[in-house]
Parts: sequence; C-alpha cells; structure tokens
Amino acid sequence: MLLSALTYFIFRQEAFDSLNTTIESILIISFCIFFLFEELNNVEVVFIYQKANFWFVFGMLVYLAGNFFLFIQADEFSKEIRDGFWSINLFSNILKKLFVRYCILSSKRS
Amino acid sequence: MFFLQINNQSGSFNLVLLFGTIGMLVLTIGLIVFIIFHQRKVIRYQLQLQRMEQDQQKMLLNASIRLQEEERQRIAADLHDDAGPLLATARLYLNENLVNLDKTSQLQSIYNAKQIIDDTIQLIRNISHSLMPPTLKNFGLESAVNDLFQKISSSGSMNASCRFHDYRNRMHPEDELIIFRVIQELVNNILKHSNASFIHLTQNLSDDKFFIRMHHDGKGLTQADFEKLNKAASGLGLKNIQSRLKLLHGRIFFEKDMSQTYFKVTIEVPRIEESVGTK
Repeated sequence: MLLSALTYFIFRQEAFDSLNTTIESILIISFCIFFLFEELNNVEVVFIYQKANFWFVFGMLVYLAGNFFLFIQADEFSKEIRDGFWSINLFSNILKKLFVRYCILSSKRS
Repeated sequence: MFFLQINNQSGSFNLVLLFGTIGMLVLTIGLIVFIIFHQRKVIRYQLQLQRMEQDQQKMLLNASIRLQEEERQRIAADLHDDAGPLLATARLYLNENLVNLDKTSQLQSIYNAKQIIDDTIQLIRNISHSLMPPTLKNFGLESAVNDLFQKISSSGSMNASCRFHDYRNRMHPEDELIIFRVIQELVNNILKHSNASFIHLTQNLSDDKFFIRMHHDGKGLTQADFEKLNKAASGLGLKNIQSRLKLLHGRIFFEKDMSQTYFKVTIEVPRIEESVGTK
C-alpha cells in the first residue's frame, strides 16, 4: 500500500507498476512461507489442510507464484503479448478465488 | 529482478515467462506437498508415541487393579479361612446348652472360648498389620524398614541389614508408605527369586533427591531385564513398583555392581515435600 501510494502521489505513475507489484508479491510469498513453517512447528495434532487459513495461504501462493514472472515483465508487455499471457493471470485468479471461497466455507463450518 | 526483464526479444521473453511461471508453480506446489507430508509424518509419530504411552499407562493400571484384587482375595481368604472357623468354634463353646452343663464344664467351655477369641484377635491384628504396619505409621520409614529387615534376619535364611544415613526429617506419610511398599516388593522378589545370602539397604540424600540402594549377592535383574519384564504381560510386581514410583515422580534402576558380584537396585525419589514431624 505504501509503495502504491508512493508511486501514485510522488512518481505520478497511474499505469500498472511492475516494481511495486513484484515487491508486494515477494513480501506476501515470504509471509505465506513463514506462516507455513510456523504451522509446521506447531505442536497441535491437527493436519494443516484441515485449517481454513491454510487454504487462503495456498490460494495466495498459487496466484502469486503463477503471476510472479508476469508481474516482473509487465512493464515490457506490448498489447498483443499481454493479451496472450494475461490468461495466466485470469486462470490463477480463478484458482485463488476458489481456494479463498473454500477457506471461508470451511471456517464457517468449524 | 531487472536482469530477468528481456527487451524486444519476443522468443526469449516468452520462454522466460513460460518456464519461470511453470517453475514457480512447481516450487510452490512442491513446498506445499512437502509441508503436508512432513506434517503428516510428524503427527503420525506423535500419535504413535501417545498410543504407546497410553498402552503403558493402561498396563500399569491393570497391574495395580489386579494387585488390589489379589490383596482383597488374600484378606478375604484370611478372614474366611482363619477368623471364620475360629469364631464358629468359639460360638459352639458358648451355645445355649452351656447353661445346662455343670459348673466345671461351663468354666472349661468359657476358658476355651476365651482362648479362641484371643487367637482371633491376634489373627485380625496380624492381618491389619500386614495392611498397614503400625511401626511405619508411628515411627516412620527407617524404623519400619529396620523392623522388616530384622524379621528377615531373625528367620535365619538370609542376612539382612539396613542403614539410613540422612533421614532426620520424615517424609509425608503417604510417600513413606509408597516407598515402604516398593522396598517390601523388592525384598519379596529377592527372597523368592534370587537365592541371595544377604541384602543390604542404604539410604542417602543428595541434591534434594532421596536415594535408596539395595545390594544383594543373588540372581538379579539388569535395567534391560526390568524393561523387558515391564512390557510383558507378566511381572505384576515390577509393574506395581513402576506405578507406585510414578506417583512420586521417582525412578528405579537395576544394575550389576562394578565388581560383577552384586546386583544393585537404586530408587530415586525427588524430595518435594519436607517433613511432617521430626524424629
């Protein structure tokens, strides 16, 4: 958010910002991995995939991992290439939303 | 990050993007799969440990229940076979016909009944003492163990001696009883199975731990034998020792002496609660 604000207000850039999004992705991926390793060290006898949070993190990881290179290259896209490759983003976004939906459903159940 | 950005080379650009995306996805899914499998393995191991612990506790509980039942049966048998007939005989001497007998016979019957009732009192006292030795209750562990060892020595079959080096403050009576029962069980085992010619018991205190060491020159157990017997269905007495010591958070070690001549049993109990009364 801070990076986006900086980009918008200081650099006056309104288009998709590759650098910001990539840094965001790296940060979120790091947090997700940190969460997973914390869960691994947890002494609770509950399988990780039985927890609602896991599915949210899984969805985020799949989305960000799938789009990581796309975000890095985003500044260099021409219109044709973007149209060709943006389906990766759409597909991983659908997957992310499905996993998030599952997370919400399973947290309601528990 | 910028070196990954390839300008104006559509073919390389596509390849980097494609393989990069596939690589990232494979890495992510690999990481998740690794975490899931690792966690499953850890949880299975934990569950297995818990199950083993539960089995061990169940075995100890069964042993203590069985021992309690055996003790009840022994008391019931003592009362039924010894006290019952004695009282029935006394009743026969004191039946209604007694009033029709001559004075001498009446006195003789009363005397006989009195004798039998005295015997019964002694018998019941013995049963009660075997349940809870009065020496232990009144004078503490040291006296009770001394008493036990003197009885063994005076039987002539074995030389038994004991020495308490540092027992100025008595432990909690319940703890004393548990330790006494463990010593009794160990002595009983030595008498039954070891063919030893002597038993020597020493007591020490060190680092807030209460130690009791027993030496004997007969056939004894090592720690490996103890653990093996403890896991087997038999070995009720040993399981009972283990469950009693567990109550005190104590431990027991069986080993052969350095000289390989004697067997040594060490009981280690943390001294949590200090004395109820000084001796």
